[in-house]
Amino acid sequence: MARPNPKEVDISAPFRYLATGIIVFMLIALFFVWRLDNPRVEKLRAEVIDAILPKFEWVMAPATALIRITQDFRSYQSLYEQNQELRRELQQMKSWKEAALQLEQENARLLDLNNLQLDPKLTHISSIVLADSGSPFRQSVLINVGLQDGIQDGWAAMDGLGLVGRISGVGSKTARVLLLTDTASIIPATIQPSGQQALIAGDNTIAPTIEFLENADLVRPGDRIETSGSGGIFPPNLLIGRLELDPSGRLRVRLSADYERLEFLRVLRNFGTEPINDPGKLIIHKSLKLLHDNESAAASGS
Amino acid sequence: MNVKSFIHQILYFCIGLFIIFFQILPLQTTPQSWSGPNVLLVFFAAIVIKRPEFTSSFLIAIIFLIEDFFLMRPPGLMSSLTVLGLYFLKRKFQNQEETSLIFVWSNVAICLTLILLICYFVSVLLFIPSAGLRLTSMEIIMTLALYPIFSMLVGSFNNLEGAEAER
Repeated sequence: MARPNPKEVDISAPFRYLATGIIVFMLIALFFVWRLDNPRVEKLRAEVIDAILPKFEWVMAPATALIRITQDFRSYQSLYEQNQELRRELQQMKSWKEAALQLEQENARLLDLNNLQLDPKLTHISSIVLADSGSPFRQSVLINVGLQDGIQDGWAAMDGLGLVGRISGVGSKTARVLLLTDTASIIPATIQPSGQQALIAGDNTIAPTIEFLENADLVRPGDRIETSGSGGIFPPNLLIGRLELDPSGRLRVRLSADYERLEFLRVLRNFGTEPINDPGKLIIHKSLKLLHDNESAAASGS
Repeated sequence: MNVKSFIHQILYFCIGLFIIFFQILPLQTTPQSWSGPNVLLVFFAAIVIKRPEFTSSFLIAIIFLIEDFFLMRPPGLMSSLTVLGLYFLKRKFQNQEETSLIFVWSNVAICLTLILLICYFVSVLLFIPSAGLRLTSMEIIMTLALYPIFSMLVGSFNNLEGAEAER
């Protein structure tokens, strides 16, 4: 084991000392820049992740699959019972599916009768979850779509059923989804059927809390919670989950999205509703306007 | 010697990246009520003690900055503290040939605890959203408990290489 002799160490020691000092100073400077000018450094973060992560995708996907298989292996023992149960559930689902199809057709007919224009902008981009936040302190996932796919900051991410989170940080090929369970996540919501407005705030547990509820008497556990769309943060009427009371009496959200298995997410394209500010540029011909004025004057005179 | 040091640093960098990527595999997307150890920190603490000549502040800064970026931590906070703490450890143990595990362990424990606690308190003081003290203390205990294992792993690798060189 060849250790450097003491003399050599003595020569290079002051340089190392200085270099370490400079490095520490630069890191602390970066931290304070982050604290003061958050968006720019977060953009840098997105770019760093974007540069590194796609190169490791080929290792991460098989590793994840392998570990999941071994995790699932334990459940093979109860495979038969599970199978039976699934068959029963499938039978029930079939009847529900039939009902849903009929309702959908009826709905389509009624919409057609009304000649109603549904919001056409809510198309989505599907994506695969590449990585999670890696620590129990933050709740977020990285997905494999980014600026190249037209993803923008603030868009909603859903799994098949319910809201999962919002895009926060976009690189060219990856984007980060801040989950509803993160402490930094606050989302305006409506509680149906009473229509009460509230904020859904994550607190690092599986069930986010409900804050600033207008009137707690009007809501009951089991009520449906949807995004309200206020502030233009999300499109309205996306399902978030159901209301529930925790043992200490706080109102919480049981999320509809399956947080146990976030594998595929769909990102909703949302360019916002354009505000209408000016009265429009209707041109009325001068003579017509005159005629109209005369007529109304005559009508009031007689 | 220089080339060897370079190769070792590349190796440690790759192991560090591997640890980070293992952490961010999307296996657990629900919030957990417990916290695992900070593996990267304890790995580099073991290396700094066992092989001080093959580490540099630059390497440690880079790998911990990458971890800061990936794990959504405030960039620069944890990495600056780590560079300082590990530099202190390196200076303290560089010229001591034989040291007992308990003595080293207690020093490492103090150092790592300080790193993680200062990190937590700075976050609280500057209103950065952070996990509670419970999770942080759990992380500290797990990290300290992991040190002897990593120390032995790195040490055995050390011996293997030493035996090879003698042959």
